[in-house]
Amino acid sequence: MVHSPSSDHASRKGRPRLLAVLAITAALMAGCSGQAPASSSPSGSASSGASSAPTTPAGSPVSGGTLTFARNADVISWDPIIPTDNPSIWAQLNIYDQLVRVAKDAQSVEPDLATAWDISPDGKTYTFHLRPGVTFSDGTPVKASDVQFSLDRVATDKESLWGFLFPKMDITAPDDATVVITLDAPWAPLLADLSVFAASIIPQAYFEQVGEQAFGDKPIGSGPFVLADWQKGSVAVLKRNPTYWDQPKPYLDEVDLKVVAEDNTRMLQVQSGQLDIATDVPFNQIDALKKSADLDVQISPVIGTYWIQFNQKLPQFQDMHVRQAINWAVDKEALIKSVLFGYGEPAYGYLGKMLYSDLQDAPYGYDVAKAKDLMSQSKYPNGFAVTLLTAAGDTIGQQVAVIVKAQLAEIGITVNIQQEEAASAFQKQVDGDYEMIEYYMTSDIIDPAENTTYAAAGDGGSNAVYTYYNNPMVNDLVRASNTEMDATKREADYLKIQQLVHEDAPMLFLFWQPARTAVRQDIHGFQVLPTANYRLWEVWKS
Amino acid sequence: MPGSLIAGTALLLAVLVVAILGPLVLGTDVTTLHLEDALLPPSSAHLMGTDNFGRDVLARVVNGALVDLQIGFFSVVPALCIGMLIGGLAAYYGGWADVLAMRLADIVVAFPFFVLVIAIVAVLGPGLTNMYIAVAAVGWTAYARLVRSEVLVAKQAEYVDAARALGYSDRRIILRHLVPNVGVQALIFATSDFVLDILLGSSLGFLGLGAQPPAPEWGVMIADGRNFITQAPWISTFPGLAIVVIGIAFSLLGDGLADYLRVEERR
Amino acid sequence: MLGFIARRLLLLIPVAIGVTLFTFFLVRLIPGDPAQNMLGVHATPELLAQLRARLGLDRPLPAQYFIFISQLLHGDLGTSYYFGQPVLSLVAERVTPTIFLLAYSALITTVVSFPAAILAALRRDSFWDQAVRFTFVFGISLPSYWLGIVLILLLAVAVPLFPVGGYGTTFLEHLWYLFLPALTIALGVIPIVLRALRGSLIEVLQADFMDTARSKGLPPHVVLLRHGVRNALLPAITVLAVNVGWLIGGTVIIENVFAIPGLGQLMIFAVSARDYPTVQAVTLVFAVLVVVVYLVADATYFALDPRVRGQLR
Repeated sequence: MVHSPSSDHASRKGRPRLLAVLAITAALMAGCSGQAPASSSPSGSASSGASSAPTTPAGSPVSGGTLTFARNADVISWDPIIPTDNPSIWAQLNIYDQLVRVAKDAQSVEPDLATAWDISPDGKTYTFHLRPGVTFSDGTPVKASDVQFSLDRVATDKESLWGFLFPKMDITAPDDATVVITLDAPWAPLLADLSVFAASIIPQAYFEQVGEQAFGDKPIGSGPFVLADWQKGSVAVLKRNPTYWDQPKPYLDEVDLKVVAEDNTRMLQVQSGQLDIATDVPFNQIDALKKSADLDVQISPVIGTYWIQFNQKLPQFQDMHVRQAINWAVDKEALIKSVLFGYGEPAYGYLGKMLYSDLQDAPYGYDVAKAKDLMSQSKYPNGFAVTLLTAAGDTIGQQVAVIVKAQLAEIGITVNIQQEEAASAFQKQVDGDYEMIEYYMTSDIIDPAENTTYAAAGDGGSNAVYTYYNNPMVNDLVRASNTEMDATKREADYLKIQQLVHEDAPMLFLFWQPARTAVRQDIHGFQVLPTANYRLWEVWKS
Repeated sequence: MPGSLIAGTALLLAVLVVAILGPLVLGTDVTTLHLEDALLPPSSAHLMGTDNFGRDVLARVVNGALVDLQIGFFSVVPALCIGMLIGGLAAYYGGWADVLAMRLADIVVAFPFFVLVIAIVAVLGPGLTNMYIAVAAVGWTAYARLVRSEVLVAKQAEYVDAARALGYSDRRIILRHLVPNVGVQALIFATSDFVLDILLGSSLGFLGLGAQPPAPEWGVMIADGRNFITQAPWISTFPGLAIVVIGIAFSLLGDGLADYLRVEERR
Repeated sequence: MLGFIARRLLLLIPVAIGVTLFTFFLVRLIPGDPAQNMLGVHATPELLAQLRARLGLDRPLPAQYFIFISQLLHGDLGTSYYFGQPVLSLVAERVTPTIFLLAYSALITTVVSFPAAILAALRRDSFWDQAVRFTFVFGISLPSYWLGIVLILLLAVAVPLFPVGGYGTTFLEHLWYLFLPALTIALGVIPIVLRALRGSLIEVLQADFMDTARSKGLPPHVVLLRHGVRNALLPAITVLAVNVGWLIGGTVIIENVFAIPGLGQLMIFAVSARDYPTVQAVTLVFAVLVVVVYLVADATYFALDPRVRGQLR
């Protein structure tokens, strides 16, 4: 779920956010703030309000009731292989099951439709044993052939936008309860890949009967909820799946997934009681909302990193002294305090706070003297002028840009801020037609392989998110870690990669920002997971 | 001269004086950040409070005045001139010229403005000049329609028949007789348009149109401040009031001008 | 009159073709590639080529346009790149809220500006005249996205008369839910219409035929309504029609602020995502709306002012 900061529609992949509305401007484009970025613990200085405790269930869960839950954008499609936007992804995870699902701590996967799995010693054969007695919501049983069909589809269908996650897989269904996946070579992130929403298991018979377009509108899965009605742009009504395998869940009878794009409106609605939960609380409103007796604002660390990247085609950014100097010259704590109102923490490196992330080596601190010293050692002792491209309408991005501009002036670098419409800005990034650009990268999987391949490796397919950073040592380590089945060795590889990238500083690492959700007091069991999704089947209303 | 014309001119002059002298009094440094002073409510130290970067809102409003007057002027004048020309010619000659011009206007108006703006910004780059080009490319249609409908009526008027009978050229009739008589609605509209164009840049903020941060500009100040509206309403309210002042000045000016021209016409 | 309308309806066709042609090429010329946007940083040259081929973007532009037009003639607006659904159904689902909102705003604009303009014109330069004019200057000077939030704060939060955004499900609910958004849009248009109407009313009040009517001993309000308002309508209608573009632009912004599931939101998404088929479809719908509004304006002209009859074709 890599996406540019600008993508206001919460897209995971740099897709422009939709709302960028006309005047919608800022509202819509709350950019990345629209999605949930990540941070795990409140930064030291900023700990003012960052309690990341999920609502603690008061008493035991009660069944029944309707949850009204507003997000900033609608679902694009319910077909698992089509969407790349977060609202679709997070909704789909509540109507479908996958073979395995992400554990709540996002460090591992846990059983879902598969109750157990065996991996052959050479790491090339995975055998999954399906949970007995599970049915789709139309009553047909979930069979191994459905799994085979669904996984083949996500990995190889020409409509699939998610094939990139999967290695070449040979999938067979020796009997109705067993699925075997055979690989040409070991692929360490396979289980993480199989837990993404795109690998959801759908009923082959129904799909083939109604066709792809109808399925995207009227999906059937085996998950906790069933899509009952969908008024596009307004509300998707999810009803309890009475045959869900993990009874008595889900507790709620109904979830209304509403669309309220404008932040101010969404917050006013949750305050007035029109909503039970509203996502994406603007950072500046967190403290005010917390004072409201009826509301709790949950601050949940999620996986993702906000940075400003350097185009290393430019001579000034080929100089490592310059890149490091910029990292020392920006006061991340001040930035977090001013822009995120304290709710975030400085990013240690390119990787979000996730599996194998390096939390031993401290982030670049704020040291102007050191930055000046590095500049004087560079080929540009007197500084230079540079353009910082930001997505217009992205309020967070713009505030970051204004502060970075002021701070880099201290070391002789003149920053000109240039706003451009989000999709145009992203195209410039892809084309390498920029000098500095803001970017917010999240991960589609809990394994660091995806982000590392696309952001750190020079040969991963995107020239390290188009920074043109290319360190052969990093590239070798990335390749090795992808086929390394020993977790300890993989962790060591990843630590080494992160140290190298930290040192090389192909970006100005800024911060990890949390998801902020306003939840009314009578709602229990709601929690935004580090993967930024939520298990609505664990939510109940008192 | 009607009172509203005098009042409007006086108010506009007052704004100009503030725009020119204000920065001398309050300073021109409106971009330095004072993060420790962020979001302070209005007080004697900051009469209009401070914004989320601790910058003085009053100083930014005053320094933004010239920028916004310039935006209004350069957005309106080209559109007004082009529109009057096309509308006038279309109505005067009628026939296919009219059909062609008006269908072109239909297409332009029916076309989503912001797609055009993205294209213009993409080709020419973001910034104020390109905003003027985008506005002119679309804005002329309103003036063309207004002028056209007045010319259609005026064409029938006796003084035009008289001029024709006297054998005056089309050019002379258009310039000497029609233009002064048909510009009234267009001019009134221009005085509203002035304010609308100031807001355009911020309304289309997601397109990267208009002034680039951290430059002070009222529309952008409102757009940015709207995120703080429940917490620090002064950030967006004061620039909004500044635009209201300009709006009132132009409203007076427009009405006064209309009255004045009407009187002239009746003479 | 009927012949005039028929001729104008025929003229819709070239305008529609013009708009689609213009949109078709412009949207493809602006930077940002749909395939790149969909694949994000995961795009390899092979994946890009494959996706572009699937979307038909690998063909030359004229060929793409030809396909688009021939589909259009069969009533098929294509399939959205993002939604994977026929664009026609996407647009059909969203068009009602937008038209409702537009009509509602036009209604509020009319209901407010006509009496206000008559009052202002009759009591010219009086306190009431000034009060009316300056009150509404606020509407035009404040951006609608800001005004909308302030109206919500005042009339939905501080005094909870209206809901905080939304669309509702029944007709009466629509009227209730859409009042604040329609008012917000109307506040931006009222000052313009008001001024045009006031200006032309003043002009008409001084005209010779009014003197004639008065000299016939007709009561003042009859003179005003029968002769004055009718003659003053023309410029006001033109001004209202001229502003239909603004109105539509306004709905786009306002739909967002008030969480209304209309075409505007779809349009913005489609443009930012470079979802060409959806952009084309929404543009076409907006274009038809605008042209129909102009047609109504011109037809009203035609009916009201015999002098213009010969000039309109």
